[in-house]
Amino acid sequence: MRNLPIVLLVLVLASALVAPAVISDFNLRLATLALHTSIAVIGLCIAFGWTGLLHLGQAAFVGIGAYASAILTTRAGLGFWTTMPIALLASGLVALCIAVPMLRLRGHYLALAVLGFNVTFEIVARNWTKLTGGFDGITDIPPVFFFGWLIEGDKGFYYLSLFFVVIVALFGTALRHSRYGRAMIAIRDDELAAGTSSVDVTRIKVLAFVLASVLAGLSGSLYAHHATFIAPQDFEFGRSVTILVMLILGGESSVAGAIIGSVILTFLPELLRFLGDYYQAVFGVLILLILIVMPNGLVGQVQSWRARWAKGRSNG
Amino acid sequence: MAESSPDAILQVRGLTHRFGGLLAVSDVNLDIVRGTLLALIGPNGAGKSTTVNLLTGVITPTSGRILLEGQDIVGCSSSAAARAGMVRTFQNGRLFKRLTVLENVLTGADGRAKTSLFDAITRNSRFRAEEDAFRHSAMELLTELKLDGDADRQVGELPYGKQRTLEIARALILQPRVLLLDEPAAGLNSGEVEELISYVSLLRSRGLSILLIEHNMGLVMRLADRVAVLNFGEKIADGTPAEVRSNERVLEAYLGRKASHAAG
Repeated sequence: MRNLPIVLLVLVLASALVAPAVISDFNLRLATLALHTSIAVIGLCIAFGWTGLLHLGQAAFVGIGAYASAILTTRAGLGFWTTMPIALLASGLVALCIAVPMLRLRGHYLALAVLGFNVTFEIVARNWTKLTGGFDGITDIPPVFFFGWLIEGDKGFYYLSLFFVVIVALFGTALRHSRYGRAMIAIRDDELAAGTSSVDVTRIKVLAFVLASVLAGLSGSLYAHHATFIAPQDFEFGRSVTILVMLILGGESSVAGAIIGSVILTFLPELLRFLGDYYQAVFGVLILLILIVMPNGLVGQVQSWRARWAKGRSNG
Repeated sequence: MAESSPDAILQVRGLTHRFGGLLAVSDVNLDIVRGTLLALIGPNGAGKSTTVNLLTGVITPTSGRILLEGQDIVGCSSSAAARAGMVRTFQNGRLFKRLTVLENVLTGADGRAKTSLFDAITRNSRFRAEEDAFRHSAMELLTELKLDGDADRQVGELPYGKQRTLEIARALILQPRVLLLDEPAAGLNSGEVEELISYVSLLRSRGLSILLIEHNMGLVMRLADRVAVLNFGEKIADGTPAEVRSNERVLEAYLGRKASHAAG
């Protein structure tokens, strides 16, 4: 049983690899969407789940990455592999510029400031028509070439996204098990004690916020090339809330939870489609129930079951 | 201003802090001779906790100087003060509850870490060497404090006494110049207090300089080389345990002779 997580991981990866051969085109499209969304959710796991920054604007940073990629490919004719790093850099730089003054604000003020940034981003994207296409957004974003091989359609993009999710998950896991991950969690658990234990609180907070945004930028860049069309409403404040709910549902301090949460919340609306107009209400109640029953998310729930099981075995 | 003996590792001069109109700490001078233990005592509300917060950069004093090895650390953040060597524990136990016992200690080593984010993500040899070295010294500390069997447990599963001990381990891994213990005996049973006394004596015999804030007078009298007494934010006495015990102003502050007339 000790190897259970590894066995599970191998099983999940194997099924992720064969999934495109089995599931319908529509579900494949959703799965691809869930995969690149999960990169932004892992980013939020770093900023909120570990460091405790109440970050209600992750969608805006996804948007910066998406627009940066979309504008540079459609206007300057650059390819994905050039625009994607620029998208990461753009999201990261914007985050750095607002992080330094913003992180002086604590608690609710930070949440409000980032929320405000998200709303501002949406307004700018709607109205700076020359650059962003305004309400109409940007269309005909070109597909991705991978060493001269055209990644078009959902199957290719699914594997491209899966590749990035694996890289980002490895990055997140390495970060968690380093002094940076420990420092981030220490800050959320007890900021004062983290400081007196020699953790440079402000620096680690800025780092967490910037890393979260860089990952959002990657997510956005993939989204733009996958959807081939982006518009301001894709990155509105409501989307930030969805990303936050994905994280909390999966388990707010777990990389695996971030991926699970984004898969569930991407598919759930489709599964509930038969409810028609009642869908929103049922969806809301369902999420609320899950959060009441499992306040630590799905991964947290499984962990506590395992702990109870291990305890029962050692006692018996 | 009289500069005291060159062997003072910590010299506090004219330390003053105002909370609005309230003078919480007023013109306090303290000296810790290298390798000795200074106990800071006083009735509730005397300003002991404020003094520790001032010394460790948690709050910035209104005025005064804090010279650690001759370097003024006033204005440093708490993190910078810790890196400079002023490392503390808390009276009400502030551990990181989502980290394991070992990880709590490792967090205290952050100020000694030299590896970058790049090293950490690529898990290169520099990173692994540093991590191994920290884990090694953390396990040494945990063994010394009889916590090695709990290394991989969550801190919430530990009994209270062990949680208090863990805080000392987290402070020691940073290799402090001055260790500030804020009421380390609070809530401990008598057996645990005895263990605490022998461990603090051991640390001092190794040459560590210690500032002990404590209510438990038995503990203070047994451990302290010198005792400083605060009352209403002012230092009213400073001397050997025997001198302080017979000091008229100290007896008054603690036993409230004048107040007892009013009460009686």
